[in-house]
Amino acid sequence: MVRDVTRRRFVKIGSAGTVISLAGCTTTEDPENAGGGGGGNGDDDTATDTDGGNGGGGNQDPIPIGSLFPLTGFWSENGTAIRDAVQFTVDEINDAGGPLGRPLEHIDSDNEGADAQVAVQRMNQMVSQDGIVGHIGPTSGTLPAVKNIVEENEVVAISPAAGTHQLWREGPPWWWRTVADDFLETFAVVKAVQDLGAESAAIIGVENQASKSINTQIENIAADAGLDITTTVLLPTGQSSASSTTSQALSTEPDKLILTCENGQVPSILETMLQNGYDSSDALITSEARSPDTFNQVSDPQIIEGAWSMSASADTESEKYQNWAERFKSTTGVDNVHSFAPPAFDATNVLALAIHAADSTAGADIADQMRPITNSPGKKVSTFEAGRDALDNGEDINYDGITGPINFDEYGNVSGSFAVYQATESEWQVDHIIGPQAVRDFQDSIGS
Amino acid sequence: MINLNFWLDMAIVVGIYGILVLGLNLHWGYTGLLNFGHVGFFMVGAYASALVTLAPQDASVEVLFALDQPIVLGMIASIVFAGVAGLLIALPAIRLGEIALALLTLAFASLIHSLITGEEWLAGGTYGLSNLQKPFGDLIGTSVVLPLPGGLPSVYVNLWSVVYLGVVLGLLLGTYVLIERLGSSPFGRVLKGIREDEEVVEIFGKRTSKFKIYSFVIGAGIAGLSGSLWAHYTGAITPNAFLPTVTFTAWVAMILGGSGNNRGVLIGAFVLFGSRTMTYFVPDIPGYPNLIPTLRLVIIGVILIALMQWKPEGLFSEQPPAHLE
Repeated sequence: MVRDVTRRRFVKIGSAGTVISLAGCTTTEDPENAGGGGGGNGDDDTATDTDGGNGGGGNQDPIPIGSLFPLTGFWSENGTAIRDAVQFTVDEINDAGGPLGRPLEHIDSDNEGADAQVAVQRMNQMVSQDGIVGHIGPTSGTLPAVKNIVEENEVVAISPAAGTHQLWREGPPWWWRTVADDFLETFAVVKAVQDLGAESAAIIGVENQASKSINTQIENIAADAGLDITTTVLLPTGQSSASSTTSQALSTEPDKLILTCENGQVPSILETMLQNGYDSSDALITSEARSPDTFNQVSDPQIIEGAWSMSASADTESEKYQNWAERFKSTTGVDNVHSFAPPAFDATNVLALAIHAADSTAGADIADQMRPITNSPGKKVSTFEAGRDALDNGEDINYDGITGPINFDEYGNVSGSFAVYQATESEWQVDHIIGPQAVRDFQDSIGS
Repeated sequence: MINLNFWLDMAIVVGIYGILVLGLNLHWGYTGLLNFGHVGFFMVGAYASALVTLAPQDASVEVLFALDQPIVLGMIASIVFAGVAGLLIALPAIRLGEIALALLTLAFASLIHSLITGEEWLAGGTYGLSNLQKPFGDLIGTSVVLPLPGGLPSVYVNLWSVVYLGVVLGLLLGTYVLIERLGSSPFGRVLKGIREDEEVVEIFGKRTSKFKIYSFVIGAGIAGLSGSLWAHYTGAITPNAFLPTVTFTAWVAMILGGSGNNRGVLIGAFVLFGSRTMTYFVPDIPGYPNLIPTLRLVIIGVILIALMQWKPEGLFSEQPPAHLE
C-alpha cells in the first residue's frame, strides 16, 4: 500500500490534466493573425507584424534581436567580444533611426561556456519570451543544439563565429554566416606554410571530428600544392600534455608544425619544440587551436614569441577597416579589435538592413531580403544608415562589409580574408592578410 | 495577450530533470550508492532513443544504426540501454565499495562522452544527431489562444509544448509512483537498510549486493528515460549537452530538496531551475555586462551553502515510516 500516491489521487490528477487539455482546445488560431506576436516580454506585442512602410507607420516598439554566446566560462573571451561588437553596431543603427524607424533591442544571452543544454534553454527563452525576430550567432559548438528551435520558429540566424564546415549543410532561409568557412582556411594554411619557406610539415591535431576533417583537407591540398606532410598525429581531447606526441611528429623532421589541436595543448607543444631544437616560429597555429589565453598559459613568454597563427579576419590593411576600427576603439574603449568583431558588425548590419528592406519583422520576409541586399549589383554601402537611405530612395543596395564583400552563396556562406599573425611576448600581431582573391588564385594554381 | 511558451519550456525542462533526479535519488537517497556519473546514463538514454527513432536519410553522417522506429520504442530502448550500462558498471563495482563505484561512474561518464565525441561513425561525433523525431510533430507551429474570464488578458501557448509537457508530466508521475511503491515495499526497506547499515541487513540474511545492483540498474534506466525525453524535446543532441554539470545539477537539486524524499527532490529541481531562470530576468548593470552572468552560479552556490548551514537535511527531509513514528 502506498501512502502518498493513492489510486484516487492518481485519478484526480489525471482528470485535472484532461480538463486543462480540453480547455486548451477552446480557441485555436494563429496568434499573429489575432493581433499577437512572437512574444515580447510576456505581454501584448507586435514583434512579428508587418509595418505600414519604411519609417514605422507609428509603431515605435523596439525590435528584439538576440545573440547567444559564451559570456562566462570557456570561450568567454570570444563571446564577450562578439556581444560587445553587436551592441556597438546596434547602438550605431539606433542612432541612425533603426530599421523601420524603430530601435533595435539587443538581447544577449550566455550559454555558460558553450553548454548545449544551457544554449537550448536560453534560445527558447529568447524566442518564446523575448520574441526575437533575428539572431546573431551562435558558435559551432552550440549550433546543432539550437538548430531546430531556430528553424521551427522561423528566426533568421546570422553567425559571425561558426566557421565549421560540416555544420553548414542547411543554409538559407534560416542559417547564414559572415565568417569564412574552415574549408577555405585550409587553403590559406597550406599557402601560408609555403610562403614561410617550408617544403614539409607535420600536423598535430586532436581526436575529434572537426580536427580530423581539417587534417584530411590539409593533407589533400598539400598533396596538390607539393607540400610534403611528413605525419599527422592526434592528441586525446582534453589532454594538455603533448610532449610525447609532439616528439613523435618532430622525429619525422618537418620544416613546420601545423597545429589543429585544442588551444590548451599549444603550450606543451611549443615547449617540446624548443626542447627538440625547433623554434616557436616553426609552428603555425590554426584558428582551431588559436587563443589569446595561450599567452597566459605558457610558463615563459619566450616560448610563444615568434609563433605564427591564423584566423578568419577582415582585411585589416584596408582603409575601410582602419576607419571602422578607429570608430570602434574610440566608442568601446578597447585597445585591440577581436577578430570576431568585424563579422559581428557585418552580421548585425545585414540583419537590420534585411528587416528594413522587408518592411516587416516576420522571419520569412527578412530571409527573403538577405540576398537582394547583399548580392545584387546595387549601390555599395558599408553602414546601416547609408543602406537604409538608399533603400528609402528606392535604390538597390549591395552591402560591402568590414570583413569584405558579403556575397552569400547557395549555402549562406561568404568568402573572406585570413590574417596571418605572429606572436610577440604578449599578443598576436597581424603580419599579413591573405584575401579572398589570393585564396582563389592559390586554388587555381594547384588546380583544386 | 500573454505568451506562456517560455514557462511551458521551463516546465518541460524541470520535468525532465525531475525524472533524472528521481533516478539519482533511488541510488543515493534510498540505497546510499555514490553515483558521480549520472550524466552518462542520461547520455546513453538520449543517444539510444535518437538512434532507434532516427530515419537513415535524416542522419547528417553515417552512424552505427538508424532504425526509424516510433518514439515509444526509442523510450523503451533508452531505458534498456541505460539499464544495461548501469548493470555493467554495478557488477564489478558494487562489491568493491562506495568509493570504487563513485570513481567508476565518474570514469564511465567521461568514457562515454569521449567515445561519442571522438567516434563519428558511432553517433555523429562532435556535432551529434539532429532532425530527431518529435512526438505529435504535426502540432509544431500551432498556437492555442485561451480566453480568460474576468477581463483578464487571454493567453496563448504552442500546442506542441502543451502536449509534450503532458507527456513529460505523465512519465514523471509514473516514475514518482514507481519509486514511491518500490520505497514502501519490502525491496525498498532493504535498500534503506543498506543505506543506514549494510552489515545489519546482511546479518538478516539479505544478499545486499544483489539489491544494490537492482537499485543501480533501475536508477540508471530512469536516467536513460529522461535522456530520451531531452532528445525528443530538443530534436538534436550533441555531446556538449552531457557535461559533468548535469550530474552536479542533479546532485544539487536532490540535496536541496532532501535526499530520500521523492517529493522533496522534485521541489528541489523546481527551486533550483526556478531560481536559476529568475536570474535571467535581472537586468545587466550598465558598464558591467558580465557581472550578472558571472554571479548566476555564485548565487546558486550561496543558496546551497546557506542551506547546508541551516538545513543540512534539505528543504524536505525524509519522513520516517509511520510505524516508526
